[in-house]
Amino acid sequence: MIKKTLLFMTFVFLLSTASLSALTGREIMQKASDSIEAASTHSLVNLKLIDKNNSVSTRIIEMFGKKNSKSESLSLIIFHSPASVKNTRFLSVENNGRGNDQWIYLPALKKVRRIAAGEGNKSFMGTDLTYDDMGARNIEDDIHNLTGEKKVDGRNCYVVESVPQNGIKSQYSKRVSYVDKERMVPLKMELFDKDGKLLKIMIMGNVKNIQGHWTPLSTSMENVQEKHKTIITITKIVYDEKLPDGIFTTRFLQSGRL
Amino acid sequence: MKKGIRYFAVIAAVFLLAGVTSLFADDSGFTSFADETAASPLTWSGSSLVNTRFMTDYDNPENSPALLYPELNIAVSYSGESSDFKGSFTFSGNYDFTDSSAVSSYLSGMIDEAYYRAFLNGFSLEAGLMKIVWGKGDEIFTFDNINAVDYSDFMNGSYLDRKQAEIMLKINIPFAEQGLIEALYTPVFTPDNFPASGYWVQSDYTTLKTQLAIISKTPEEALNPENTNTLKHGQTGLHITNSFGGIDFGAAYEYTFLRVPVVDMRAFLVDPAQQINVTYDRLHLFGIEAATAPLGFNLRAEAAYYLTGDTGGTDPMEHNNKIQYLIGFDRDLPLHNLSVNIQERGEVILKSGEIKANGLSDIEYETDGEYTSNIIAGDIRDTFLNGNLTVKFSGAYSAEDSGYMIKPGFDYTIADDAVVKAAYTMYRGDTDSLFGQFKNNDMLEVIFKYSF
Repeated sequence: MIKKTLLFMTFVFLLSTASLSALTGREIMQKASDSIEAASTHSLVNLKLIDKNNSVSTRIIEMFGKKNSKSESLSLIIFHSPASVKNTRFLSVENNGRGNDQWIYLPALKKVRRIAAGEGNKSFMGTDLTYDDMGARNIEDDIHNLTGEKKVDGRNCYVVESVPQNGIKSQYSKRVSYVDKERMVPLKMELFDKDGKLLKIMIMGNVKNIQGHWTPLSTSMENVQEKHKTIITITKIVYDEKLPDGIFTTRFLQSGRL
Repeated sequence: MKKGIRYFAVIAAVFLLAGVTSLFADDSGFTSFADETAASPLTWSGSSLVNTRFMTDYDNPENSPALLYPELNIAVSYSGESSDFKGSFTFSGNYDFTDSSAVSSYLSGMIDEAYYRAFLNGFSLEAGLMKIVWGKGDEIFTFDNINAVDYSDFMNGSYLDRKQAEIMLKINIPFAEQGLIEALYTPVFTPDNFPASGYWVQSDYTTLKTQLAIISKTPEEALNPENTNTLKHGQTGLHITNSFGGIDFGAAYEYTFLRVPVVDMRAFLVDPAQQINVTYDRLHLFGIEAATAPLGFNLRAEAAYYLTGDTGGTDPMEHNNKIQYLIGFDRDLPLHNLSVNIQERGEVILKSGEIKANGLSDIEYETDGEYTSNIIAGDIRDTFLNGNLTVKFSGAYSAEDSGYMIKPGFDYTIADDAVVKAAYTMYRGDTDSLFGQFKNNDMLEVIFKYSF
């Protein structure tokens, strides 16, 4: 009986290994995306910007994300510090069938302004992340090739190269992702500029299981060409919180209250 | 559902959602992490700044002083379960305590805003000294008429800084996904404040002052401004905004007063012992607005109809109806971090033929026959050092009188909360033009601001 069980377990193990090995680059990236599925996210994030002289400046932001009844992504960012940008609020609404709506509330103007969503390669708040980096990119927009396996931080990872499909715009010519084989969480990414030169390296660490989601609580993004780095630390995160639709409105941007 | 991949899956877990399951609306309230960690519902913040101006009067080099304007701003807020209070106060280092009116003016000017908000079932209520901004323009508007404007330093500072808070009661009613109805009432009307001395005295006032000097009078002695601090000078306003299909749009109605005063000199011209009456025309103001962002352009537009009592244009002592319009855009350029922002605001006074027929007896009569005005304003800017340095070139041009203003400058963030700004402003044009009247006020301005 024991022998049979062991044989069965070995069979299952081999089968699962074979199945994993058969994963395509596209499937790996899809699983990486699926691994963070949640009804909503709510987080407090610390951004440290470090320039080539090791001068540090800090921003604290609070982020909310969910989907509405039409399955459109809603995201809200509230800036808590520095004091000069405190209470600036940014809202992005994904729309099925047309471009995203984006608005920003600037306390100094006491006004909500619609902003164009088309310039995604601009820096987000002076960080090394662009607006596009933070947004969604269709899996179909890129060709994903599994090129091998490597260890990152002692963990076995798939290496997937992603290049834009012909005719699809991208700020990068190529992305190389190192996805944790067990947890299906990316642990490292290399981003290449339009000339094919390495532009940025992103490293994720302090991966914790929070409410069933493997979440790297610390991420560094370094622009190796400009020698500028951003360290992102999630100081608090809650998944699946009941976030009211009302906070994802221009009314909330204006008042800061429901 | 859109199949989205988050290359930055980690951050995406935080920044956005990927392939989330649908969640239906539930406005049962929420708590910000910032609120959870706040030690007290009472918070305060502020800024201190030192503004140094080096005036450069080329015609009179000896009249080129360096002026120092220190300022401290304190903002306090109390946030309760379903209400909050916000107050902001400005303490200026430049004050005049030589007479009681100056002291009174200084003290009232200290309160930037102070108001209470209650968040009730389905609507919110706001009451107190408030500034509101209605319209889609970028610091230039057509129907944002409720608050008074202080022209003491009107060529400098921000639009909101120039506004004066008004006592008002305001109700906000949300509707649809993004819609909002705002209704307000102000018990009194506060006229705009035009300086009688200093660098930014307008040419009309200077001309009047010169003319009155001939009969040994000052404007203060000769002018008899209407008391607008009465309930019959109340204002009401209604503003409805919404967003649909990628377009933000809105409409407004204000029962208010025209901010351009009626200067009635008839009695004075007959008998200089009489005063010059300064009154304000009642006004029904209608406005519409829209903004959208196609192809990377942030487009915005406004239009306003000023309906005074003189729709026929025949009454020489009441302003004619007029139309104002605004169009503008801003856009990031595909070169470095360059962006450009351009706006044009125009005004057309209707029935101008009647004004011409009335001649000099009409308060709106213009000797040059111009009854339109168009101002084009804009800037081009670039950022460096990860956004810490912004270099910009601003300008404005008045089409009818060909006067203009140009202002190259930069903002540099020294540390997270410390910014230094420097700009050189030049005014050119005829002495009676909008900008040319200040052509002796060219200046280098250096501002150091620390926020806390």
